Amino acid sequence: MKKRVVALFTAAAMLVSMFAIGTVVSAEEEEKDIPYVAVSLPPAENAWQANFAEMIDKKMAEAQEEGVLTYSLKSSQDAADQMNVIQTFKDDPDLDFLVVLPVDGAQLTATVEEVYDSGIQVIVLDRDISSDKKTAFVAGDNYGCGVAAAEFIQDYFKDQDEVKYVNLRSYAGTEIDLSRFNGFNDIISKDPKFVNLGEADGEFNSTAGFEAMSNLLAANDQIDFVYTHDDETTTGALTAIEQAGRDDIQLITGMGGTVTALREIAEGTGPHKMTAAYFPADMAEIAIKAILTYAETGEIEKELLFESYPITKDNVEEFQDKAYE
Amino acid sequence: MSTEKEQSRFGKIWSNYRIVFVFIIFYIVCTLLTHGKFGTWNNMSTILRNASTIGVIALGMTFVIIAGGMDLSSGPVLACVGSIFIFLQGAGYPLILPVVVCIAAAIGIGLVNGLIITKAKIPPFIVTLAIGIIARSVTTFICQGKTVTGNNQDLFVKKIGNGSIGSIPNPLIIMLVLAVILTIILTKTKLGTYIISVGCNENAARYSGINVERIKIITYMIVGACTGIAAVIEMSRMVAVSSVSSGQGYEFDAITAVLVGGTALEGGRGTIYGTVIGAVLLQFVNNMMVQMNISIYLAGTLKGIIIFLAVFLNSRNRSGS
Repeated sequence: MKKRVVALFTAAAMLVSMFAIGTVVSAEEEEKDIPYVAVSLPPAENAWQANFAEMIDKKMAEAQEEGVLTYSLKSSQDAADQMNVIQTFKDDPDLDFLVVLPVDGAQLTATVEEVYDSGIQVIVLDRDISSDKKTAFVAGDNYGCGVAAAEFIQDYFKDQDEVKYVNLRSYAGTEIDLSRFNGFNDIISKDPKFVNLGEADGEFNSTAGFEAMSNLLAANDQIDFVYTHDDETTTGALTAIEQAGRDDIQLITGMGGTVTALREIAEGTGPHKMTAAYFPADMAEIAIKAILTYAETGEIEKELLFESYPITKDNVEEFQDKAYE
Repeated sequence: MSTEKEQSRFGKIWSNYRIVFVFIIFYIVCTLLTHGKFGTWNNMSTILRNASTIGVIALGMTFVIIAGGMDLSSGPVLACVGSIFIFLQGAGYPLILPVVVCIAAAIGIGLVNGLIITKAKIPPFIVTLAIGIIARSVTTFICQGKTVTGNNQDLFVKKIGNGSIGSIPNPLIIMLVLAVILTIILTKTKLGTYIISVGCNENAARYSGINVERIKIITYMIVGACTGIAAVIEMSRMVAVSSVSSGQGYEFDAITAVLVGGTALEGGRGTIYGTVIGAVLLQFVNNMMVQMNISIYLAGTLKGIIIFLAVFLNSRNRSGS
């Protein structure tokens, strides 16, 4: 009798353990299905980046709430710090995806390659690395932003014989600066009626935009338009123009899509009549979609370049809800 | 004999006002290189306006450096108190309140810098660096990482940074008035003498009965006040503050202006007018880049050459004098 009880108890215990083990295994399997994503960002050095950090955090949190992924997010001060952060992420055995917006794509190439080689899927955002060892590259079309601005400018001055302009760049020589510069220059430089008077660095902010523009104004008596690479730079340049009391500037274009820029374009009373934008919220959404698509199908397009929008008075209202500050 | 006397008189004038001669040399060279365009009042007023924010911080920095200290928190502090200014101004308070609170907050941070440096005996480099990091972080928190705009329909506030009296830009007037006040403090008051004594030889100053700690704290409060005033100028220009880019690197530009102006990094020696000229010389670079249409990539090279030349010319025969 005793033996029977012991045997029954043992059998019951085994059943319970098997069930428990089964539950753990299936829970693990279930958890394994949900991708774990690490997000590494640069410092929020301007309004666009600050808004992007906010947007990707918000959208990742929403996705986590829906139970489709789990994530961890970390911003870095510089390229060296970002390298350390990525190495730390890589050492986590549960990591499935690394989403990285590099401080500097070239500097982070070796680190990102190492992560990719270890079997983790890597989504590079906005600033590309100098290697093919990545799952996908998601970026706004900076070259297209330059093209859009140039086409708008060409159309705006179609009836003028000679057009003098200045260029406010943003951290001259960086990848974004060169893309925006080349997109604009490849079109404008082919048209001999456009005369480049000079350039200065607006550094993606209004104070530098103000100082750069005030120097350009002092050096040039007649400027027809100002091409800037950034909306905050445009804000500073407009203040300098207003302060100098200059009324020769007919047009200033920007890039980015800030609340101030869209308001000025909507008002239509000043020279700020156009900006070219790709919005932080769009990029965050595309990055998350890319992760979920790959997690489900194991396939993804290698390069996801999304369109930039030329924003003028005609269509500005469509973008008001995406504007950032 | 009289030629020797004249030579010695010229040597004395050169020795005392070296930086003024350096400024005149640069001014003439730049004007010649740009076929006169550089030297026009229109261009000079742009340079002087743009030099004013850094110039005002540099005035306060001169006191700290003469007393043997260093302040690496000025840029972030400018952004921090500037964000307070923008929030109060944007909330509709009378302009006097944001101005007073902004300057008082900066003086308060200067006091904290001074107290930690003197009471905890931690080197100024470390204390002000740490306070700067904290100030930048607080600014980012206040602004939530964004660029915050105040009430930019208020034309009066814009007048502070963008307006002029006659053809003289308001920021320049503020800088010059402040320079005169600080020159009087440095050269005509006991406080000025004590500051120089502390910078020359701290131990000797202490044995002479000077309250060295108190003097050092006062110098950090002075740079705080100047940073607060610079913040008012800067914020009134754009009526907006960026948690990241506002004040970025200003502390180093201010220190450079002070050193170019002839103040000794080891302390004990320096002039306010030298600092004003130093700040203006730094702006020459940005302006000349545009005037001469020099490649934007060479900005650092030109800046380096001008700093080197200014310091070199300004320090020639210093040991002899």
